[in-house]
Amino acid sequence: MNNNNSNHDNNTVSALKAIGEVFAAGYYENENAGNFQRCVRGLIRSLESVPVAQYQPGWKLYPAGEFNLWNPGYDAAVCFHYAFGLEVDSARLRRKAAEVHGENSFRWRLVDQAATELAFLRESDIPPQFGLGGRAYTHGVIHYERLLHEGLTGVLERVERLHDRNPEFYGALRELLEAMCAYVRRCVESIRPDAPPELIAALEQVPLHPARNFYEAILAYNFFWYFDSCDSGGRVDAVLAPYAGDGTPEAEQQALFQEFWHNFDLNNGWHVILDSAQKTCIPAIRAQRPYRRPNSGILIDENTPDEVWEAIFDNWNAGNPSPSLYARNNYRRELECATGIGGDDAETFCFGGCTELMIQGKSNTKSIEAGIHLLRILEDTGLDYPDYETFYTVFLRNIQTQIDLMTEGVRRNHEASALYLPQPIRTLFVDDCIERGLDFEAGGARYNTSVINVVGLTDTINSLYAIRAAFRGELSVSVPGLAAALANDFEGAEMLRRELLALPKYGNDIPEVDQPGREFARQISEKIRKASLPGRPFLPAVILFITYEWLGWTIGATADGRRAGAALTDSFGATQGSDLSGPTALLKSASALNPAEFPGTPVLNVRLNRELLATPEARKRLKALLTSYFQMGGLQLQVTVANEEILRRACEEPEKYPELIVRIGGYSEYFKNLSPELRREVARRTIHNF
Amino acid sequence: MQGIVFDIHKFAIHDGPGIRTTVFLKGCPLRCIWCHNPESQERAPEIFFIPEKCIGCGWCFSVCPNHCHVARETAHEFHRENCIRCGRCTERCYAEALELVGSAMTPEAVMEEVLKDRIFYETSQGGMTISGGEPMMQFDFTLDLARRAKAAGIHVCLDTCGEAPYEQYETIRPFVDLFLYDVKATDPEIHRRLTGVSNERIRENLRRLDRSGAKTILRCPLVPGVNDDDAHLLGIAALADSLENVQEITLHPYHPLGIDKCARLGKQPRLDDKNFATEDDVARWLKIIQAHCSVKTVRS
Ligand code: SF4
Ligand code: SF4
Ligand code: SF4
Repeated sequence: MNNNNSNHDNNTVSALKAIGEVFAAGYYENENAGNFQRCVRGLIRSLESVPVAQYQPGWKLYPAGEFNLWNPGYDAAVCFHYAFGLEVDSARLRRKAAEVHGENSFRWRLVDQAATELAFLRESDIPPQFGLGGRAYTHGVIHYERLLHEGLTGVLERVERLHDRNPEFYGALRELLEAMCAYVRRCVESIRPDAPPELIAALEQVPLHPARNFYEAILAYNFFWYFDSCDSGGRVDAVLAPYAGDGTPEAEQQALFQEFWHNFDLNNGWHVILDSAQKTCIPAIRAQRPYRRPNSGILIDENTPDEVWEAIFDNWNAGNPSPSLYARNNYRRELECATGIGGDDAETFCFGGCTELMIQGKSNTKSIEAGIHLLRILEDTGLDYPDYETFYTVFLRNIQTQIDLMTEGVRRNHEASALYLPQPIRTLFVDDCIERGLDFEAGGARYNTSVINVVGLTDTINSLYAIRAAFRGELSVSVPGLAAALANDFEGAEMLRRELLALPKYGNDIPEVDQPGREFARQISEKIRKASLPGRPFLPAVILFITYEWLGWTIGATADGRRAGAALTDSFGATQGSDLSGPTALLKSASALNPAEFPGTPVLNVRLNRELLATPEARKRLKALLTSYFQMGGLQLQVTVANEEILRRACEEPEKYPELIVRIGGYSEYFKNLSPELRREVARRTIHNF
Repeated sequence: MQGIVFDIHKFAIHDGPGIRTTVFLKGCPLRCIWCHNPESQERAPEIFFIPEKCIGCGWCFSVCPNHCHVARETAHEFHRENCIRCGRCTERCYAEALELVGSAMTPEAVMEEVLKDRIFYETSQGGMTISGGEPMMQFDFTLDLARRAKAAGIHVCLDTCGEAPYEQYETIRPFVDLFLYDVKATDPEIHRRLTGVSNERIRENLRRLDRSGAKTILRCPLVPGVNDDDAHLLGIAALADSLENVQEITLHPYHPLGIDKCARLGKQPRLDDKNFATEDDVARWLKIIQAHCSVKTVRS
C-alpha cells in the first residue's frame, strides 16, 4: 500500500484502500480529473502495489506462468481489463466493504456509491440480445514490432516530445510509463538473487530498451503481452524473424516459443498468426503441439514451402488442430474491400480473440462487438404469409430492423466508451494514439472497425429451403401444418421431422440450396456493411463454436428438422450430420456462400480422417484439398482429425455421427451402417492404424 | 442412353492418383467369394434392408404394389421374392431402413456430378474412376463416360476385373489414362474356384493391353488363408515383371465389411470370415513381392 499521496486520501479512497481495491482507490483520488487521468491513476496505483512476478526456476522467459498483472490473485472487484477498459463486480465490492467496514456504515456507503458509479460506467449500451459471442468486447493486438524496436523508454521519449501539446494527457501517460518502468526495475531487483545472469542481463535491456537479439526480442514480446493482460499476440514469428538472424539455433527458438505458448495456455491468451513465409514459423508451429492455446493460425499462399506444410500436418496428426489455415492473398484483398485499408498496413493484418480480423498495432477493433441471431429473427417472423416471396421480404425487413437497433446500441456504446472507459495501456501501445493525443477508445487508433457476428447463417439457409418447399406444396404438410409442428417441437410429428431432415442441405454441393444461400448471405453482409458507423466499418463474421451451445437453447424447433433448444451449427460449417457428401462437397458449398462476405472470419471447421496424414501421398492429396478451397475464395479453414474420442462416442451412439465415414483400404462406409461388432473393430483399427 | 449407377463417390483417394470421383456401376461377371461390394454383382437395382432401423411408420406397407412388406406382430418381414425393384418403398423411408441400390442415370447426369469437383482434380492431379461391379458389363455407358471425361480434360481410371472381350478394351483404351487391373489368383483353377471364372482370358487381355502401351496398376485383393500363399505372391511378382507398363502394385488386404452388406441384401456371404487381415499378413506379402520384383508395391 502506498501512503505517499495521503493528501489524496479522501474518504472514498481510504475506504477502498482498506478493502484492498487499489485500482478503484486510485480512480477516486481526484474526482475532478477527466476519466482518462483517473483511470491512469488507478493503473499506477495497481502497478505500485502489484507483487513482482515470480521467477519460475528453469524458465528462460519472465514473467512466466499464470499471472494477472492488473488483478493479481483475482482479488479485486474493480480492475483494468483490456476487453472493456474496466472490470467491475459491484456486488462483490459491496460485500467486501460490508465485511471490513460493516454494512451501512459511513465507509460502506461511500463504497456503495462508488460501486454504483463504476457499474454505470461499465454498463454497455448494446442491448443484451445482440451479445452473441461478444458484447462491446475489444480484443486487440498492440504494436509489438514498434515496442521491440524502441522499448518503454522509446515510448516515453515520444510522449515527452509531445508533452506541451496537451500537458494533462501526456503528463498522465508519462507517469504511467514511469510506473511501468519502475515496476520492471523492481522485478529485476527482486529476482536478481535467484534468476540466471543471462535473464537478468536481458531484463536490464528489455522491455525498457530496444531488443538486440532473438532472446531479448521474445522476452520483451512476452513482457509486453503481460502488460496487455495476455490478450492476442498477432504476428509473433514475423515480428521476431529479423532477430532470428543472430544465429539462435532452431531448437533454441522452439524452446522459447514453447515457453511463450505455455504462458498463453496458462493465462488463456488468445490468437497468434504465424507466417509461412518466415523460417521462424516452423519452430513456432512445433512448439505449439502440447498446448491448447494460443488459437494459432498460419498464413498460407502458393509459395508456402513443403516443410511448413509438414510441420502443420505433424501437429494435426498429433491431435492438435493448431495452426488453422488462413489464405493470405484472399484476406488481404477482402480486408481492403471491406475497410478500405490498403498499402503496407494491410500487409500486417492479424487476428484477435477467436479469429477476429484486425491490423497489428494500429487498430481498435471491437471484437466481437455485437451480433444478430438469424434464427431468432426467423422464429419471430413466423410463417403466416400468403406465399414464400412475401414471407422472405418480411424476414429481410425484420433483419434490417434488428441491425438498425443493434447499430444504435453500438453507436451509443462508442460514445460512452470514449467518455467513460479509456484504455491507457493500448493508448500507449497502439498507433497513432500518442501522436493524435487521443485515447484508444476516443479515436486514437489509426483504424477503427467492429466485428459483427452473424449467428445461425447455415441453419437459416437450410430452414429457408424447407420453408420454400412447404410454400410450394412439395412437402407432405401445408405451411400452417409445418408452423404447428414447429410450435409443438415436432411432438407427434416425427415423420415430418425426418422428412425435413432428408431434404437437401447446405454442405453437399447442391446448387438448389447453395445458390439461394449465396444470395441470402450477400444480402445479410450488405445490410451489416451498410450499417457501418462513420469512420468505423463493420466487418461481418460467422464465428460460432460448438461450445456456444447456449445460443440454441432458447430457439424453438426449426424447419430444417432441428429440435427446440438444440445446438446451432458450427460457424460456416454444415449442420452436424447433414454433410454426407464428403469434404470436397463441403468446401464447394462453403465457397458457394462466398466467404468473402464475412471477412471478420467465416470459420470453417473440417473434420477429416487421420488416414489423410499417414503417408506422403495422402498428405499431398490433403494439401490439394485444402488449397482448392482457397483457390475458390475461401479465407480460413481449421482441420480436426477424427480422433479416438469421437470414434469411441460414435461406437456408443452411431446415430449421432451419421456423417462419419470409415475408410479401410479402398472401401468407405458410413460408420452408423456397420453392425455393432464391426463398428468396434473398425474403431479399434482406425485409432491404431491411421 | 442410361446406366445403372449405385454410387458416385466424391473424394475417393484409393482409386488412382490424386483426389477422384469414383462412379460405381452395377453388374459383375465374377462372384468372388470375398466380394466387398456384393450389391454390385447384379445388374438390376436391389433393395438394402436394415430391420433394426425400421421404426414401423407403415409407409412401405402401404405403397408396395406387390405387398412385399408385411408386419408380423413386432417383426417387419420383407418378401424379396416378389419385389420388382421399383423403389417406391425406399422413397420415403426416412428411417433409412430401406435403401434403393442402383438407379438409372444418363451420362450427362453422371458427368454433372463428376465435374462438380473439377477444381480438386486440377490441384491434386486426380480425376474420375469408373468402377463397379465390372464397368465393362455396361460397356456402352462406360465408354460414353470415358469419352466425355477425356473431352472435358479429366484424367480417367478404369477399374476392371479383366473379364470382357478384348475388342472392348481396345475401343476404350484411348479414353483411359490408367487401368486399375485386378489380379486375384495366379492358378486358373484356383481363380475359377474363388471367382467363378478362369483367369485365362483375363491374363490374355492384360498382356495385350500392356503390349498396346496402356498403363496399369495391378490391384491385388489378398485374403489370409485363401489366396495369400507364396505361389500366388510370387506369381504377382513374376506377372508384374513380365509386363512393360505396370506403374504399381497395390495390395488390398481383406476386410469383412462385405458381410454386413450381404445381410442387408438378404444374401448369404460365401466367405464368412469376420477377421481383418493383420498387419503381420500385410508385412509378409509386401516383403515377398518386393523381394521378387522391381515394380513399386504398396498397400492400399
Ligand atoms: S470382381 Fe469385384 S464386384 Fe465382382 S464379384 Fe469380384 S469383388 Fe465383387
Ligand atoms: S418405410 Fe421404413 S421405417 Fe417405415 S415401416 Fe417401412 S422400413 Fe420401416
Ligand atoms: S421396391 Fe417396389 S416392389 Fe420392391 S418392395 Fe419396394 S415397393 Fe415393393
